[in-house]
Amino acid sequence: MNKNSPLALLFNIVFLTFMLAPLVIICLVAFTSNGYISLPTNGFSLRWFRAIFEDSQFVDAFYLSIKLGVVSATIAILIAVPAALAFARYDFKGRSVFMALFLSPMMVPHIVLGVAFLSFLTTIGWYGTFIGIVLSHVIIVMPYALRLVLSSVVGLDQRAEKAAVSLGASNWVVFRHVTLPMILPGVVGGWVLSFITSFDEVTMSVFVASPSTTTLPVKMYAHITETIDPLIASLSALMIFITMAVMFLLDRFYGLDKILVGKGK
Amino acid sequence: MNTLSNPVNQVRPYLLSSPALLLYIGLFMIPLIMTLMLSFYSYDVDRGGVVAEFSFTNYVEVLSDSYFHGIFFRTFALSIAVTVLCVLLGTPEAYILHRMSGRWKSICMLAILGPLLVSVVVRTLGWAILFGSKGVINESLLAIGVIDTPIKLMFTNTGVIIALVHVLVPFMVLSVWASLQKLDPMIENAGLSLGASPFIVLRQIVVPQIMPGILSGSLIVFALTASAFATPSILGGRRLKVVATTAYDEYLGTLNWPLGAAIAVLLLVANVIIITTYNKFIERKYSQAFK
Amino acid sequence: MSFLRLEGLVKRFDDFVAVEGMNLNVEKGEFVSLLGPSGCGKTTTLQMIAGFVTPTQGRILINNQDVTHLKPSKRNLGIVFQSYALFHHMTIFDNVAFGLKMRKIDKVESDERVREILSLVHLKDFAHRYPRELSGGQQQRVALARAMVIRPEVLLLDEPLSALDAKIREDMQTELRSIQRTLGTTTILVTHDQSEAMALSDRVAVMNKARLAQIDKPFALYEHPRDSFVTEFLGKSNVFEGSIKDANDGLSSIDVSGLNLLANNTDHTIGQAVDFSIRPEKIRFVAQGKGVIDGTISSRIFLGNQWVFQVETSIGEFSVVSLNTSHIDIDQGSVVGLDWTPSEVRLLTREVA
Ligand SMILES: Nc1ncnc2c1ncn2[C@@H]1O[C@H](COP(=O)(O)OP(=O)(O)OP(=O)(O)O)[C@@H](O)[C@H]1O
Ligand SMILES: [Mg+2]
Repeated sequence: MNKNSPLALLFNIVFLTFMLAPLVIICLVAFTSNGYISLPTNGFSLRWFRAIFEDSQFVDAFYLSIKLGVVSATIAILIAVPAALAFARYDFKGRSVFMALFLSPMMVPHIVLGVAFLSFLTTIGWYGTFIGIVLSHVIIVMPYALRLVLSSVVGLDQRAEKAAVSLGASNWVVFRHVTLPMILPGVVGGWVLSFITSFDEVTMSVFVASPSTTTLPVKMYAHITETIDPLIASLSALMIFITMAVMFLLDRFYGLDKILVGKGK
Repeated sequence: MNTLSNPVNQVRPYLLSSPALLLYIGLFMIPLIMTLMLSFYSYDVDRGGVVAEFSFTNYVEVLSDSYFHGIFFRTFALSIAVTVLCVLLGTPEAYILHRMSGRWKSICMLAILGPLLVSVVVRTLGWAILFGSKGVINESLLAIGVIDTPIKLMFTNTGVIIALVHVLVPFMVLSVWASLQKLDPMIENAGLSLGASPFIVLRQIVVPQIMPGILSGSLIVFALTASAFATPSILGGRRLKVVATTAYDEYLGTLNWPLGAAIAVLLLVANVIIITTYNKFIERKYSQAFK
Repeated sequence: MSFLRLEGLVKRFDDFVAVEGMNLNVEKGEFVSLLGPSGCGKTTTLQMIAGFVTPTQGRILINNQDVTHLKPSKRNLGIVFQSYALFHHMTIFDNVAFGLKMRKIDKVESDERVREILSLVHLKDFAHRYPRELSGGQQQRVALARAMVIRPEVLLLDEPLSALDAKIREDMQTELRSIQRTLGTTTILVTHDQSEAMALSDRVAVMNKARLAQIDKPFALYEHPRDSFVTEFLGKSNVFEGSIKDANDGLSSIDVSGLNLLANNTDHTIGQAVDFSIRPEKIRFVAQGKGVIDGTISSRIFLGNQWVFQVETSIGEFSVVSLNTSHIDIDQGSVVGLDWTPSEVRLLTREVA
């Protein structure tokens, strides 16, 4: 049953067009056979997709971004799970202060974090190292990881854990075999959102990335400010395709809205 | 809740949150404090760059120079414009989505929220391609004869605003959507049965009740626009500078880190002030009717 | 002509039939309950009367005017929703005044009417509070006041009491009935609680599987249900399959598993299959061999004001209810006689599957 008026449906169509237009245009331009930005008027060509893989800088940046996303999301989750358990289970002094602190990177503009990390990493001599950029990304993704894990821990029924304890299970066994399986959806969701956030981040990374630790978005940003060519369009199209694939998989197995509610504050 | 009398339970929450706490102290608070300190240092090429002496030079420079006034003002105006547009577009869209059901609803949701998962750089590139003088927008407007010379969108405020609305409006939709979800599904019927027209139901019953969602959505959009970097940088170019791109240029262009730090600190402070006053305002206004 | 008439109302959602051939006549000032199990189409019927759902077939008439295709805002009905659907951004006063504002009634009169109705529902001291600051029972009364203040031709209530706990619910039932009597508003109440329906209504309409099964005054419905569905929906009964064997002298004899049982004559024909039904509270204990049938007590449960016994007999298990008036010394395992008068027996036409 659709309760919307024709006018509302028209608005909806215009809105969706607006949302999809820039992505669609990229995907079209990516298939051009010309050497400049243009629609593929004389046939679809994969020439610019091949060009991506011949450019070692983009390939390196891509691998770095993947590695960065995986490592920082994993570290963030490993830290967020115990913290979320503490917040959900205990009423301790400083609880609300801790919570506010842990969520606060979301409120700090990324440009400020970039500035801060650049000074900090330079001072301690970690500028240009992988570990340096990983740590800065952990801070950025932590709030998202924490929020999603927290939401699954808060909804948890503690009786199963109590039952396990009464049957003589150790703390670790309870965590591993009872708690973790129950909070797994939140943990997976938190990890995915953290990975995506890290993989897409550009504003802060522009500061902390050095020539040897350039992430893909930073590399693309630098490229676009110099020139907008079909190569960058095909690379962007490739990223859109990958995102779409991931999105459909997530939606299939998990429910996209569950992950995306974590993105809005 | 567990009992608090057990001494183990008094230590455990601190143990559990200690990794996060250490991380935040070492990698979040210290860098921010360092930046604050740096913003009070000065920069002197003759004395080898950053001079570690406390002074207000940078703040005086930023707060008295009309060049910086212009940049702060542009950022503020941009944020207001983007926020207003996001409210005007995102609220009705959220409402329309709310009234849809089944497959169409999921498809529309996917189309609106999916772009959130695509890097801002990619989305901005899309607009850059659309905006070019040989871009699709100009070509089609020329073709149907609405205009006879290409309109300039690249490197204009209008272009930056359009792209930022695209980047940020999903947050608005999400926020309004969340408050529509909390609405009693029968509330509109209640209004109708009391003799109100659909328009009055919308104006006097639905909108006031989703106001908290609209307001918190605007806050997110405003804050994110004020600190947006990639989009204004790519579409605004060198001339249309905003606070974030200025700080970037000071840092990586002229290498005046203390001045860049001062600009960043001012952005952070302005952000915090706006967010907290706005929250206070919302709380005062809605504390009685909403919890 | 009745005040509110539903004529052959049908509602289909795609292929699914939610309401089928619904005919209902409600007199002015009458209080009628729609009672039935979950999913039988009560809410859909109510929503059609309110105008939120368009009927697939049939007509709705209020005061001889066909309102089938009238907009909800033009029907002048008062509705109380299960969730109350109060306007949370308005004070109680503004909530109640909303309908009057929509009718452009002048401020002085409107204020007067709002105050009047608020004092009728005992809420005049709460006028300037917000809905969140009231208890469930109070919110429910606001919803009622908001619906009543516009002086609706018909008041529709969709399970308005189901969210309240048992004690407040009883108070609210009394209150609802007295307010309805005071104002004389024609009222339709949807509920799946049979005691609520019987306590409040002039007539109860029992629905089953999208259809109206039976409509009558509460006592008549309880005493003379038309089929075993209505019988069992209104309260427990002992129902056994049997067939009419013989009929004379005003009494029929029914063959139930080889046993001859008596009942008042009905219009059933000899040989017809019937359900033999006797309610638990109509059965008396007598000495072994002195009643209609003997049995063994298989269990007994004490419920405070009454005892419930399960008695095993040759034709099946009986349920017997006795008031806790004196000490009853019937233990589990003892053999007793069960007795009743034939006029308490109901013979129900068996539904052919
Ligand atoms: N919009 C709809 N689309 C499809 N089916 C519907 C719709 N509304 C109701 N139904 C179906 O119609 C049937 C009757 O629904 P209705 O809400 O009238 O039941 P009800 O008697 O009020 O039940 P309850 O006591 O649970 O409230 C149900 O099986 C329901 O699933
Ligand atoms: Mg119902």
